[in-house]
Amino acid sequence: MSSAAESSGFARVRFRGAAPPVLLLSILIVLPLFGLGPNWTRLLFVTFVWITTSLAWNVLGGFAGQVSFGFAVFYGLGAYTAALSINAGINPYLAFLLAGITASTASLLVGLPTFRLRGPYFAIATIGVSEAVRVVMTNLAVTGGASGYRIVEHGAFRQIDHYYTALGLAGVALLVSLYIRGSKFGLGLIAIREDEEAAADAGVNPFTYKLSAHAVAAALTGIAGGVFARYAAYIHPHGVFAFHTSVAILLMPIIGGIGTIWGPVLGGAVYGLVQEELIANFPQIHLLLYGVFLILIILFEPGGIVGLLRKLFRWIEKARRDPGDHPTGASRDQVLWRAGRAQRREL
Amino acid sequence: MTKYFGGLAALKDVSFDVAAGGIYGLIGPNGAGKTTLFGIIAGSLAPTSGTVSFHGRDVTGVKSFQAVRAGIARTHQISRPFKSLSVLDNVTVGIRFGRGRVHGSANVRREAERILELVGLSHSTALPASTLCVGDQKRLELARTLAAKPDLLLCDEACSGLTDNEMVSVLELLCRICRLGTTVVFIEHNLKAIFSICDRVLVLNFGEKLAEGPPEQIQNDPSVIEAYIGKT
Amino acid sequence: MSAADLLNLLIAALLLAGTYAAMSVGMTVIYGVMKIVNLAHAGFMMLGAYFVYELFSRFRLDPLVGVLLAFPTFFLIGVAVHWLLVRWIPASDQPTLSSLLLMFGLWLVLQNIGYLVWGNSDRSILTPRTLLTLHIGPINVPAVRLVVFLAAAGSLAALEFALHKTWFGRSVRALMQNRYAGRLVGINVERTARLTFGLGIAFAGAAGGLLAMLYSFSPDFGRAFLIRAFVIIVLGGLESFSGVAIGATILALVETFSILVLPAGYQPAIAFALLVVALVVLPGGVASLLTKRLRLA
Repeated sequence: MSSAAESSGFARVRFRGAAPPVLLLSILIVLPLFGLGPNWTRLLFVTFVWITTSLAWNVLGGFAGQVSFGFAVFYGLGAYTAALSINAGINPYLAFLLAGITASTASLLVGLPTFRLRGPYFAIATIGVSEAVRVVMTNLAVTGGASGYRIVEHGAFRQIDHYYTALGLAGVALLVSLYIRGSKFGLGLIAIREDEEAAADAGVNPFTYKLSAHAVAAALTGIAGGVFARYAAYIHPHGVFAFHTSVAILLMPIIGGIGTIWGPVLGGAVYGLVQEELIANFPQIHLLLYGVFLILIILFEPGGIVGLLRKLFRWIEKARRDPGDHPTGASRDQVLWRAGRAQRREL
Repeated sequence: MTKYFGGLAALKDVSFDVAAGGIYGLIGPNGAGKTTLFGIIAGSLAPTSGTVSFHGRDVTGVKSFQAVRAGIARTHQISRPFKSLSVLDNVTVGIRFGRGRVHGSANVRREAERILELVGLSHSTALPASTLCVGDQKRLELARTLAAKPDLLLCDEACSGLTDNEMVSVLELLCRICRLGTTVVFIEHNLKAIFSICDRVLVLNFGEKLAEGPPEQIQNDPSVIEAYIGKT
Repeated sequence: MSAADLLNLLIAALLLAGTYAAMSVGMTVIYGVMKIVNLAHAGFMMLGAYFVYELFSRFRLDPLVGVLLAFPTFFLIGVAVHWLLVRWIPASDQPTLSSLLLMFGLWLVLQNIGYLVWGNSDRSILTPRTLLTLHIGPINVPAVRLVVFLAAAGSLAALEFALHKTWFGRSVRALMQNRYAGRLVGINVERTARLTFGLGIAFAGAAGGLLAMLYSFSPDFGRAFLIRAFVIIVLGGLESFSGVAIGATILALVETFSILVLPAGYQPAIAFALLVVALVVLPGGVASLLTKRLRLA
C-alpha cells in the first residue's frame, strides 16, 4: 500500500479497510465484561482520551499542516467548562458538549490572529497563546487559581461509565477523521498543507478552511478535556493547561505518523499505555525518550511509525516479487520510494 | 471583458483590455512586471491603484480563490503541484473548488480523467505529483487550472524548460483550450511561440506598456525590437 | 508613585533590556543565516545557567568569569550539535517545520539532561554582589543588575565588532541577506553556518549564565525566556541586530511598567500576549516573514 494509493482514495469509499478496526472496537467494547480490573480500565481510559486528542490535533496539524504547540488551551478550557458545568448541576454529557463548544469558540479567537502566520511562526504564536491562558487561569480566583478546582458529583463513581464514554469519544474522533479525509473539506485541507498559496489559486479559501479545521480539532480536544476532568474530579492549571500537555498532544500524532488516520491512534495508544510504565519505572528519562524519538523521526522517517510500517510492507512486497521479473514494476516502486524520500524533505 | 490596471512599483499605469475569446500574448524582458500583472488580475496581489474589471464587475483586490469563483485562474511560472497528492487528486482539487458543477465521486473522477487526457497525462494518474518531470508538472498545473472551468486562463511561462516538441504540444493545447471557449493570456519568452498563435500581443518593459497589437505590428515595432536586442 | 520611583523603574527596565538583548542575539543570528527557529535556545540557556552555577559552587569562580568561559565552551558545543544534527536538515530560504521540530526535540533532550543531572529544585547564584545596592542620588540600582547589563552590553559590542570588522562577520551578514548569492561569491556556506550556529549557542549559554545571576533557575528555566526572546526579535524585525536592541527595550519597558497596572502574578503573561500582538499587529516591521516577497517578473 503506497502513499499514492492512499491519497487517490479521495473520490472513493471512505471507510475502506474497515474490518480490522471494527474487530478491535468490538474487542474493546466487550473487554470490561471479562473483568478488566481497575488499573487496566484506568489505563485504557487514559489511552482513549489521548487517542481522541491525537486524532483531533491531526486534523489541523496533519491534514491542514498547521502545527499548533498550544492545544492545551482547548484541553484545559474543556476541562474547566465541564467541571464548572457539572458542579452547577448540569448533566455530564451536556457538560461535555458545552466543553466542546467553549473550546471551539476559543479556537476561533486564537485562529483569527494566528492563522495569518505561516509554519513556525504560527507554532510559536500558539505557544504564546497557550502560556498566556495558563498564567491567567493560574491567577483566576473564581476557578480556584493555582490550587485547582474540584468536581463534586453526586452518585457513586462507576469507572466503567468513564471507560465507555472515552471509548465512544475516541470512536467519534476516528469517524470524524475518516469522514474528513474522504471529503472535499479534507482535500482542501491537504491542498493547503502542501501549498497554501497554490491552494488559494486553485479556489480553496484557506482562512475559513483553517478556522474550520481548528474548530473541529478544538471541539474534540475540549470534550476530551471534559471527559478527563470528570474522571479525575480535580484539575489544575499546571496540569491541563501546561506546556507539557500541549507537547504530549502534538508528540503522539507525530510519532505515530502525522497526517494519517492510524498514526494518531498508534501514537495515542503507545503514549497512553507506555507513559504509565515510563513514569513508574523510568520517570527520569521520559522527556529524553520523546526528544530522541522526535529527532529520529524528523531526521529519518517523518512519516512516524506508520511511515516505517508502510516502508516495511512495501519492502516485503518487493522482496516477494522475483527481482528481474518485472523491471517496470520495480522501477515504479523505485519511483514511489524516491517520491517518499522527496516527501520526507518537506514536512 | 475590459480591464484597466494602475500603478504598482513594478507596474506603472499599465492599462489594457482583453476581449473575450482569443489568445493574448504578454511579453517583455525579465523584470518587466509580467508575473506581477498576472498576480494582480488573479488576486494574489492587490494593485496600489487602478482597477480590474471582469465581465463588467469590479474585481480589484479580490483574493485569489474569489477570482477563481469569478472565472479567472492562473498557472505559476514555477510549477506548484500538491506534491504528496496523486496527479488525479491534484486535478480533483481544481474540479471540487472551481466553478464546474460536478457532483458525485464517480463524476468527479471521470471529469478529472477527461482533463488529464486533454493535457496528455493519462498515463500518470496515480503517480504522486512530486515524481513528474518539469514538463509534466506544467501540464498538471494547466490541468488543475482548467479543471476550475475559468473563463480567463492566465498562463505564466507555459513553455519554459520544455523541448521544442513539448512546446509545440503545449501551444496546440492552448489553442484547443481557446477553441473550447476559454480566453487565454500567456506569458512567454519564446517569441516564435507567441507570434505563431496569438491574436494580440502586449509588450511590457520596466513596468510600463511598450506596445500592444497584432503580432505583425509588434514584430515590426522598432521600440520592441530595441528592447529585445540580444534576446532570442 | 514619585518621580524617583518612576526613574528607578526606568533604569531597571533599561538594565533588563540589555540582558534581554544579549539573550536574543543568539536566536537572531541562527535564524538570519540558516532560517532555523532555534527552540533549543532555551535548553542551552538553561545549561549555561547551570554551567556558571557549577563553576561558582564548586570552584568559587566568580559568575562573570563563568560567563566568559561559557562563550568558548558553548561555541564548541554548538558546533558539535550542528555537525551531529543540524546539518542534516535541508537548507531553505524559509523556516521549515522540520527544523522547528528538530530543535524542539533537542530542547526536550536538553531539559531531561538538566533534570537528570541537577534534579528539579530551584538553584540560584548568591554572591555578595547579589545583595549589594548602589545608591546614586535618588536612584537605587542593584549592583548585580548593573554588572549583568555591562557584561551584556560588552558582549553585544564585541559581536558588532566581529560582524563588521572580521571576514567571518561579513560572511554572516552576507548570508543573512542572500544565502545563494553568498555561495556564488565564494563564501563557504556550510562552514559559516556551522560557525554561526556555534556563535548562536555561545550567546545562549552566556546569556543563560547572565540570567542565572539575576533569577533562580531549574531545568525548565528556558521556556519563559524563549518566548521573550521571540517577542524581541519579532518586534525588532527578526533579522537586524539594532532591531533586537529596540525589541528588547520595548519588552523590558512594558514588562517593568506593567506592575503599575497589573497584579504581579500576571506578569509572565505579558511576554506571551505581546508576542501574539507583535506577530499580528506589526506586519509592517515583519513583513518579510509574514508574506512571500513580491516576485517581480
